[in-house]
Amino acid sequence: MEQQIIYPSTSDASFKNRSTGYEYTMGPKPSLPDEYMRSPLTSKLYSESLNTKKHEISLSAMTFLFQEMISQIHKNCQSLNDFETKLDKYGESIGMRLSELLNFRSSISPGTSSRTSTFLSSSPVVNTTSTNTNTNTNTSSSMNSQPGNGPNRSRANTGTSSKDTASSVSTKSNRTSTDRHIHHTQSQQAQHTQVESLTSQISKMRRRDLKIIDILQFVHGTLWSYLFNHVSDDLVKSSERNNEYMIIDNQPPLTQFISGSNNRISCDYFICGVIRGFLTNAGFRCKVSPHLMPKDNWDNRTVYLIQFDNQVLERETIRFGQS
Amino acid sequence: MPQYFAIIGHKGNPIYEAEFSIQQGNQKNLGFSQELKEMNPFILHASLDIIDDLQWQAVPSNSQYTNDNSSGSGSNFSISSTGGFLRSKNVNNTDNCYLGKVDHFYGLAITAYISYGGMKFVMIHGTSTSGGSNSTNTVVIDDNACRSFYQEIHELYIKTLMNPFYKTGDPISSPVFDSRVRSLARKYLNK
Repeated sequence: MEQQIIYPSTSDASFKNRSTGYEYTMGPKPSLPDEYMRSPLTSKLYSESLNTKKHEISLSAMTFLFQEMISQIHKNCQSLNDFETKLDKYGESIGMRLSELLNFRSSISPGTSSRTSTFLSSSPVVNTTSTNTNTNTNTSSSMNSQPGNGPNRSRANTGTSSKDTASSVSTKSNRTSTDRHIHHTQSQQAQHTQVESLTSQISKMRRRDLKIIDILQFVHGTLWSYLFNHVSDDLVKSSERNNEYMIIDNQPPLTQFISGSNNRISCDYFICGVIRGFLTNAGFRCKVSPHLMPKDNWDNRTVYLIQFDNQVLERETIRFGQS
Repeated sequence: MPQYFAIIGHKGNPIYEAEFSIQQGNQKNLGFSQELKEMNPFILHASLDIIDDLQWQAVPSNSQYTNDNSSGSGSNFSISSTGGFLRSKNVNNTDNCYLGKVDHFYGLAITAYISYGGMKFVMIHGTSTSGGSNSTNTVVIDDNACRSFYQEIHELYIKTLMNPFYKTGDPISSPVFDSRVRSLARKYLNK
């Protein structure tokens, strides 16, 4: 009896008899002769813009979710080490997605983003979000600033990357409210086909980061801005070992409500996972661990210790002279 | 002219493959010949070493090597420290995502692109007369069209990645992805 495998993307009835995707046991599919007559298939996932949308998640919602994550892991884990690994894994999948996404967004040349406004959301709610004016603020301009931004961080934009795809921007705000719904769903199909990709706005792709210091600057600046809306408080190189770097956050927003100074469990492993996933995916294998180091007024000051693998250092020595 | 395109993951595993053969008018059979079809994955994987080397070069530069013999992986197979060989000349030096032409094999050209997450997008460009006789004229690659094609694919790939159910390194089985890639190929590579 043949077993039917359900792919979330292919189980949609609208794709039936039209096309099948890549099947790795079959190898590449040749082009079909009548292919050019067909319009490309559409789906929500591929029609969304990758451009930045200002969607902030309220801190309470995020902490609630985080709390659920932790108690879920806590229920299932065997040991302390197990707990940390599992939490780290959650973060990793986010980090590796962000390494692609944030770099790609940084490539978009500023000032051209208004052209993305041809996107239509497929939700019937026509929200009057302003057009995507240049929201690409997370680029390197904020990289070197080291503000001591203090306890007034009320919001954490801790991006589980899927949230971005679910958010929507619509510009057609002037429609009449009557039978907007029907109109919208009808026109949606037509609009989807003329989705403009972001590539047209990219004159030059951002360079891939090849050196440790470059990618850490990106983590310190852009990644932190994306997650927490501010750059991290410090980026330090260890003076003792040359494969160790530290990213310091005076007040980690995500774990600020988790009390227990004498607690041996650290929930900061989630952020460690994000950092590790980001760096590892970009080709910098490393281990990341959090260390609570209170200083002055900051009781929750956390140091993320990044230990790169030897192969990363060796590569850097070979390619760029000195590490 | 036909193309064979593949996305290669971190472990050298293909996560997507496709063949493009664009039909113009009533010309028939513009695709790869049957034996070449079977060879394509090998040819493509043979160039991965060069791409791996170029991946970590500060300036994946176009060297001055002009290798006239189109015998592909010849005997003096040495990669210089200053840059790859056989690279196309007009690749923008500051762009290290698009690598341009990285290799060739009996008149087939191979271009490559590396995403920020280390995914390798590789494509074999065939000649339009790839019938039984091996044509010696090498393929001319339009770098700008090729770069745009790769960037669009990159964007599509990131969109795939945004699917929380998709795990990095899994084959991309989405028919939407497939049909989008094919329409992009028609747009940029139809020469």
